[in-house]
Amino acid sequence: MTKRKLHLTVLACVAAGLLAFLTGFTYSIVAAAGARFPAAPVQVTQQDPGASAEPAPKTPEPGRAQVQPLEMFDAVYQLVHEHFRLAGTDQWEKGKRDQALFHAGLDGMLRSLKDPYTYFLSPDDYKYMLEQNQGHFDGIGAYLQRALDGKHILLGPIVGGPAARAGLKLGDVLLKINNVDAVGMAVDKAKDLIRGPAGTPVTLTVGRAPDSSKPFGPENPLKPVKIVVERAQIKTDELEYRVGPPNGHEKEDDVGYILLKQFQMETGEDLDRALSAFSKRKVKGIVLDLRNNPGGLLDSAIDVASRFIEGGAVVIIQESGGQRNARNADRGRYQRPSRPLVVLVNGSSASASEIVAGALHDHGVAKIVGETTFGKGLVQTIVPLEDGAAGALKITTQRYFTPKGTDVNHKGIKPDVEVEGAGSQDDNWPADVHGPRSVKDPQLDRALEILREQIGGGTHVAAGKKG
Amino acid sequence: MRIGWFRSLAVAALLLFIVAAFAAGQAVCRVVQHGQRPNSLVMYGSVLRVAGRTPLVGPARSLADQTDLRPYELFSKVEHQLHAYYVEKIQDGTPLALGTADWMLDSLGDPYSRFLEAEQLSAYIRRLKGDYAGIGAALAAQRVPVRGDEDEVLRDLVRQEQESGHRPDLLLEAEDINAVERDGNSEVRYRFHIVVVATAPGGPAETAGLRPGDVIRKVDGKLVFRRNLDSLDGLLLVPTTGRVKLTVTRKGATKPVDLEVPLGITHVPPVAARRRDRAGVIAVRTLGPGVAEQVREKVREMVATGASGIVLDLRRNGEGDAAEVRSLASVFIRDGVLLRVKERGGQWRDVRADASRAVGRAPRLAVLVDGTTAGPAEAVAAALKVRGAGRLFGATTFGLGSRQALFDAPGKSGVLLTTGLVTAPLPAGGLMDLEGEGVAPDVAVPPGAGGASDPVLERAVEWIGSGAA
Repeated sequence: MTKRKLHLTVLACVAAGLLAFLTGFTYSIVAAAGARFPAAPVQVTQQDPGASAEPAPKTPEPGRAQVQPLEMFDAVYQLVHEHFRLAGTDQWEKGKRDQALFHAGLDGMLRSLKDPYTYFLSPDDYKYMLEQNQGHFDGIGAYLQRALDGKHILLGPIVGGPAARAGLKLGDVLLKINNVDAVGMAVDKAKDLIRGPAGTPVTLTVGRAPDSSKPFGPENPLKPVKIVVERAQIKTDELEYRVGPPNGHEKEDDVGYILLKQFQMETGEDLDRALSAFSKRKVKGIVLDLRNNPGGLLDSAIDVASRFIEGGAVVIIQESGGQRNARNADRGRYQRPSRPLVVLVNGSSASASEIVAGALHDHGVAKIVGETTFGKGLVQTIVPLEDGAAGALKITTQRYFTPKGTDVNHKGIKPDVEVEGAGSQDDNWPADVHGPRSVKDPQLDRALEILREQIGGGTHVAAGKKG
Repeated sequence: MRIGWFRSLAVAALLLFIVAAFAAGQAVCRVVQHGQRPNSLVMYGSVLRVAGRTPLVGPARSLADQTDLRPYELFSKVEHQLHAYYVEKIQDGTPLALGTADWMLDSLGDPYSRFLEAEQLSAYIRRLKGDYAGIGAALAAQRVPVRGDEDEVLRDLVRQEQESGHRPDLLLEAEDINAVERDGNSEVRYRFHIVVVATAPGGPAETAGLRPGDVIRKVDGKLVFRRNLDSLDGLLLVPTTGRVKLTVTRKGATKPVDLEVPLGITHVPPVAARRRDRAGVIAVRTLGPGVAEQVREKVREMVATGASGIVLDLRRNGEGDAAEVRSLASVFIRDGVLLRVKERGGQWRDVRADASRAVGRAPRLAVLVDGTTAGPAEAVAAALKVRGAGRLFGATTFGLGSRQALFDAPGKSGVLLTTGLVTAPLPAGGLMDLEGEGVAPDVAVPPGAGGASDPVLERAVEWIGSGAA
């Protein structure tokens, strides 16, 4: 081997080594970049001008400095750590403040998208949401609400629940929980103290004003009453049914009425119970009342629609990438309710309600009666952080369309028969399906009328119809 | 044969060498990235040098070195999930970053700690130099505890809004609160009121009839609620063209007052001096950087030209730099403790006079104050009062006793943070609180007294004259 040849060989080796070195270096950068952005989102084909009533986000001005969220989070987190001193108080525990700061940072990032459905759920919010979806929890069966004075907490017992059975009344003012002063207490804290395993007692001291028609105050002072309530499993029953419409008379018992307040995990099974009760009583028509139903779980909506539709698409989901997939009805769940169906909707029927109303409409199995629905054509995904221990993210991830491709977002579902409501109802406390119907309900009246026409009896005159 | 054996050995060695070089490349890359990771967590604590000197904060360390990284990891995970899952492609991370900072500072529940976007920050800095953009006023948020019927006016406004059918959800928002203070099981809830601290003399706000103390309730017909101080700042104190409709409530007025205020730029000289009889009157409208030095020059000039006393007018002075307080007070007080500041962790720090700032023999000094004297100006008045360096004329000051420092943040934005609570040590012992209390004048002068156009000034000039006689 000549010297020259040796030189060339060494040179080639060094060059190869250098090339390999650079390849290794670049490979790592690409791999790291890939790990940083796992699934680069693709531009959505259909641009919708914002999913909210909020103003559209500012378009970045040319030349404006680009900032990464983590960089900003870090800067503010550190500044607060190092320099912040809250005026007036010293007793803010460090751990809690850090957590509040962290949660606020996440929430701020999510909310900056100006999508009202994308936000952060604190661990407590997440826990509450799971309970809501599950449909049951252990407690006394009462709503807690902050009074307008900003200090007291008001009780609203659920009809038939342990609190109501023990004698608590709507509007009772919470004074003490197990002898702990509850005036000025945070509502969440009160909820924590009241809740506990089923079968255990909790002692509540509540205040009642002698004159319940007036707000309590110096002229109408609260009288304390001590009540012991045994906790039990509370079913947050969001589906109620009745043979015969609410406040109907016996003649109307050929119609089944279902009030669905929210779509939960067990809603499908609850619906089966209602439908089999209707079959036993041989009802000839069904009213499904989705008014004021804000939605709930997507799976539950598909479950509910499957009872009424024999196969085919319930809803078309459009992924963020633009591809559309149909979610089909579960044939095994079909209940053959071969009788006329009317779905009641109003401006507060949203999301899962609109999916069900849209599906039943497009498949021609129901007449939609009432007012145009809310118009929320977006699907959210809940992403728990550390199994929910660190809270969860609620992120708008998909759009949906009715089986015939109608976009619901901002437009809502237009009813087949438009009927205005009777005005504002107090939505704060759940209405009692079995109790007397005190307010006029022209939408329900019209729904019953339409059912009558379809049943073909013709002789009945629906309640509330003039003439 | 020998050559062949040697060749295969060489080829194997070469292969080994290439693999090793590849691995080395990866390793170096990793090292570089490790070097970069802490870099993306760089400390942004450098205090903006508004005053040309660092306020009273220690050197900042990177937290990334000393605390657990869990929040950072989780935050960055959430960011990636948002990018991956959100229904639309997120083009620009900057709005996400701004939202993050905004909500974090909001969560502190302190009306004075807030995030300033780039344009808000530059408007703020210009304001400290006397250039007021927008309506020409200094605004502040005040914490008001939420009580029963404390806010009847707000309730009425909400009711009107609901009846007009604009937004049925407004009542809920009206119940919303800005801050909660918990003590054991009980809590006190606060709402922020956005208050006009001072109007710029001759500016649009003053001309349109906006008054100090007015609480801003509506901007362009929209009710002002929670979290709106930052957006108000952007609406009222940044733009320089157009008009804005305001609805304000004021003490003594039974109904909300509607005003229309043009937006523009008002220049107010931070320091203006003139002679009134034997008194040199120095009006200080902002405590921006360099103001103390200007005042010192004017005082020297006045004394040199025969003034027997100085009237220091600190009215309509709502904003400034905390560092300027010491310099300005030191013009009239040569040594000793001026103020005591309670800082993080309950530590006290004395603010001592800076002898290099003092003018030879301190002249007879009258200080004019009222409800439009807020923040740093109040601190100066407090120091002058407790040290007996000047006599205060007018009315009690605004009562903003917490000290803020301005820090720079990524993207040319800024962060205002409350870093201490200002008090003034009384000669007889004890401390005078400023927060929520304000500084009371030695000589209270009602605004309309004596029929003069500025009775407070007249009284002060008179007092200076009497001392000279």
